[in-house]
Amino acid sequence: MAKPLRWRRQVRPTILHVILVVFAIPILVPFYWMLVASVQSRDKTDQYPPQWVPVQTYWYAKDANGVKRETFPPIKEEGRRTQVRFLDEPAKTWVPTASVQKVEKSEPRWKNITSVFAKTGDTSSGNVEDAPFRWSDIWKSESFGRYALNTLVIALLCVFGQIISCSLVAYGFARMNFWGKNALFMLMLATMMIPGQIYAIPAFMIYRSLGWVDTYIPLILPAWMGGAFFVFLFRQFILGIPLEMDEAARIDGSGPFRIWWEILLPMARPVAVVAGVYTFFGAWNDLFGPLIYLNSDYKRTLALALTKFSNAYGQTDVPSLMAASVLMMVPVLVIFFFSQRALQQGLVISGVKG
Amino acid sequence: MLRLWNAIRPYAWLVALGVLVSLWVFLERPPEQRKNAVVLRLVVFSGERDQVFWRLIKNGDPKAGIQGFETAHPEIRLEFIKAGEGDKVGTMIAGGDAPDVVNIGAGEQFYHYKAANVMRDLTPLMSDADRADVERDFYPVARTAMMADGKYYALPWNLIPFILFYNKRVFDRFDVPYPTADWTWADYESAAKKMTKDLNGDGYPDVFGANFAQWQDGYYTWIYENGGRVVSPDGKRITFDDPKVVGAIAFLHRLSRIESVIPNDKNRPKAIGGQGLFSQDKQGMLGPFGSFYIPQFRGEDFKNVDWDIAPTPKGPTGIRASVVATSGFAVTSQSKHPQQAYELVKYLCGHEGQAALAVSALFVPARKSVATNTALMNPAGLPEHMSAVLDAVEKGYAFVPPWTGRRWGDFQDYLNGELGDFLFSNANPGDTPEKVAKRIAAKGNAILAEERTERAGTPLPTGPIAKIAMALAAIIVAAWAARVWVEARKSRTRGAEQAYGYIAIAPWLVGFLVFAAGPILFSLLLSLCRWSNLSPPSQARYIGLDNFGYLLGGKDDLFFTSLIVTAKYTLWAVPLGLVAGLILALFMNTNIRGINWYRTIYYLPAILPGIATTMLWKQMFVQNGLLNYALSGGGRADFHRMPDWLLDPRFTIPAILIMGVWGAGGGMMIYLAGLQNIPTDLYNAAEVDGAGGLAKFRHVTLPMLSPVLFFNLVMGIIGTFQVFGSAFVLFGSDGGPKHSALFYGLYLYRKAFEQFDIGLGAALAWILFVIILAFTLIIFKSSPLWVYYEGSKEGKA
Repeated sequence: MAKPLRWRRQVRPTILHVILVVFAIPILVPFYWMLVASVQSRDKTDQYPPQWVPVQTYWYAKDANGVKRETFPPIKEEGRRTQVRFLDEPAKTWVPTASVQKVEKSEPRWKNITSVFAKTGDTSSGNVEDAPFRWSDIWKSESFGRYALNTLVIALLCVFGQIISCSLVAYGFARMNFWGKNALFMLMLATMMIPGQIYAIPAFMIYRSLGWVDTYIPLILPAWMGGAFFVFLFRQFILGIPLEMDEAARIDGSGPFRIWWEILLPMARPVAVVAGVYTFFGAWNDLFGPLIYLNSDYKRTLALALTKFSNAYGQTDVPSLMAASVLMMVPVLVIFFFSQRALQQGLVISGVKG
Repeated sequence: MLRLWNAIRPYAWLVALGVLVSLWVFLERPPEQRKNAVVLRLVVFSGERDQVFWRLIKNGDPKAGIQGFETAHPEIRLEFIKAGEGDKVGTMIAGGDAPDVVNIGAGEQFYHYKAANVMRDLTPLMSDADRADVERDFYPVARTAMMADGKYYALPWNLIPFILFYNKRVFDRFDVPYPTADWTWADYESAAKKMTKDLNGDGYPDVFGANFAQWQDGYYTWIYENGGRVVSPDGKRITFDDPKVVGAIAFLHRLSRIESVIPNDKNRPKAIGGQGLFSQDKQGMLGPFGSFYIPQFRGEDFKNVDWDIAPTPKGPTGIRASVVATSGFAVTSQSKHPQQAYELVKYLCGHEGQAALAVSALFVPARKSVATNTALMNPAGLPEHMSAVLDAVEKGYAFVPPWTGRRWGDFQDYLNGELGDFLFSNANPGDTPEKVAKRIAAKGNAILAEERTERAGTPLPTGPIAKIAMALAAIIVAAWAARVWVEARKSRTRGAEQAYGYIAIAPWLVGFLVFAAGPILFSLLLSLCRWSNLSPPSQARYIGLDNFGYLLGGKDDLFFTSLIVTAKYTLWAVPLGLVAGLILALFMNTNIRGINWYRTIYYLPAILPGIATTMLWKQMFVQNGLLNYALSGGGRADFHRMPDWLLDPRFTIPAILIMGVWGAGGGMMIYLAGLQNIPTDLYNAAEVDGAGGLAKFRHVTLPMLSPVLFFNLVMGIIGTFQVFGSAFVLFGSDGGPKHSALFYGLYLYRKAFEQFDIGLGAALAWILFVIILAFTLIIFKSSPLWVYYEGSKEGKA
């Protein structure tokens, strides 16, 4: 019943390629638009039809001396005169309408990206780019650079905690025999079903009474206490490792925790990658935790800073928002691309079976 | 070198952890710290103009003649908490971590804060001179809005009166005289009629005469101008069925649906809200509307609009009215430095602070002496008739919108929904102004009656309860430990294993006991209470099952709305997600070249930060956005005829579904893992039996994959019932137009954090838990019918 060889070797892959490329378009086009918007000038992002390349508009007019200078967009027109304001000049002036010139150039506005990197995102329109960009500003207390570092440290500490605690807890559930084990395991799985909203207020009160509000502890500590889902993955994996491994190590004189640290944890690397990468993504993207627990500006995370691009009237500075979003996506993208195979393997091995 | 690396390699993780922890400590350190300073924390909003204001306050501005507060008070250090979000402040206050000074809006917020005792009575802190100054220089409407029972709970800061914006170019174009202070409704109506024109003959107006604020404050202005009132003077009855109220509604109905001079669903299938048409010279008047648009229209984005303002037009009997939104600054009762905090409030609302407000062009200062200072308020002379803003407060026809009772917000929701339907869409064709007004009044009175009959509840003995809970917990832990000890006594090896086992699971166990079990029980207790999270837990009142009775007894329309929305979404999203994920996985389960790239691409939407991708989609969903461009085949249809995804109630759920399908790659990875777990022997065997592609899928792939399907189904349902983030970013907490996307999570958030009803929020969370549990159990019970587990009972989680 086998199909001809030609079908298997050439036709089928080609059809697949075509299908996969076609369906990839709707996924990628929004991202492309986002990239364009992140280097677009502000007045072009809400145009219809959408702009596919970044376009910058420049206005020129001749001043009183007949010199052509760049201006802000014209203010109003009366007869043959037009009111404009020249760059670097506070006063408005009237110039002949004929001398006003509009030039559009297709060029990316890199300033969007750099200014976002050095700014807080709180200023929602206009003055974001007023200040000159300096790389040294990035590490100032309130900038996206600083926020990125904050987020990175929190996320990495969560990754450490999640891998260590989940593998240890899973080791206990998989290998140790103690009274109440099954009941506790079921209890752990049941907690996955409880909506997070139930915890929010009481947990805040507990952290508050411990004096931990406006610190990173409430964001990091939970990762060190064994997330139910990853404990489950680790347990499934450890159950699949032959008991003889433990026995051999025990005969060599290893204690139970040494067996976990030196034998099982290294073997469980595929699951550790899964747990680590997803924990990183979770911490990197988390909005609710930082929103509730962080007060100080300089402690903000990226996700929190991203929400500040809309002002009190709900207006959004689209290019800056898109530029900041792109910056936030890059690390996730890089990590995913390089860990993709390991992730896949980890999921296959741990055998998600419900 | 290599040997050195080999030597430290086993400890590399320790080094990395050390580096991270020291970085952590470094990052938590405040940038600059002044010793011995009194720290005052105040909540500020983070809009652009607010930023200007706070910069002026903090650093002073020589031009405005302001000395920064910190310069004047070197012993005080200000700490700014940027949060416009109600949940943030609410959570801080509930947790006993309240800021010292909060900005507070008249009406809803003032009511809730006063009821929960959040604000300190400022009267004792005020000197006689302060008092005299406040009474002399603040507009009475702002001052009284910050008072209760004759005491000052906040000092007024700003005012936002309702005014009439008009676009001069549109008026000129149709030769209509500009609005004046003598204008009446009749003038408004005739001007609007003259300016509504269908220029291209497609049957729809291209220029509209007017539009007005389509929320309660806008309606109140019209009602007051007609001599009507919404609430009876004693605040106990809703008088929405009063003939004068009906008259105002009838007038608005005539403007919108009969004369068609206002954009609505019929004459402009997809209306552009707010200032959109106005700033494009396609609408003559915008108003009565909040004066908060003035600073915006002055800005760069609107420099091509030729506009001015006028007072609101007078009603038929010559009455003029204007709703004023006002806010002030209050000192919280929890503040440890009330005197200094009051100094700050005094500064913010004093001449310097008000001057900064005027310079930042945020709103109108509440102080007469500053508000009437034209050099500060309107240096550029834009708008020309700026006095129209102050007319309302100067001439005394301004009023603060009514607010009575805890559930007034529910009434306002209902009012906005009913009037929106009646005036701008054709939801109930048989409706008349009388019928609508009667319905609104009946609903309002039912809400008030409901609140009156609420059980007062009994104070919770929090102390004894905490003690009993602690004792119970101790007993359970002790009993558990004793049982383990008995087990351990049976043999030495088993004893060691008991200990090791508990040590191993200790991280989870401690976390569970402290941060899960405690909070869960606490929230169960809360669901039996009425408690505003603006007050300390000792204020909670035990009311039995009343919260559940209120929700399940059908007294809360929005509760059922949110259930229906969520159910509808689940019904679509879960199967769509399952099928799309499975199809993707089947395509991806090959070894063709570049498959890693494809997998990355298809998986992208699922792993990228949800907040970032939702922001992206929000931009694409606008009516002239990328999605409509693509759907109309590259812009071949006018985008006005395309769905307005975020503003049209019919399209909000489809919008969020589209976003879901776009992210279907999330489930794909797990299917892929499942597919790769299927032994190839099975396929070979099937081929030997003569099975074709479809038969193989039906008899091998599907059964082998059923556990994964099962897993994704359970997780999918748990996920869809808890939708929050994406809906919150797209639609806000009221769930978009007509609450058409009011997901359960949004509703819970709204009740618990925006209306400060934590007890009800906890009850909602528990109902949600029961629903999820029920679904999960049903799926589990039915799973033997359709889930195939290979070999044994293994893997049945």
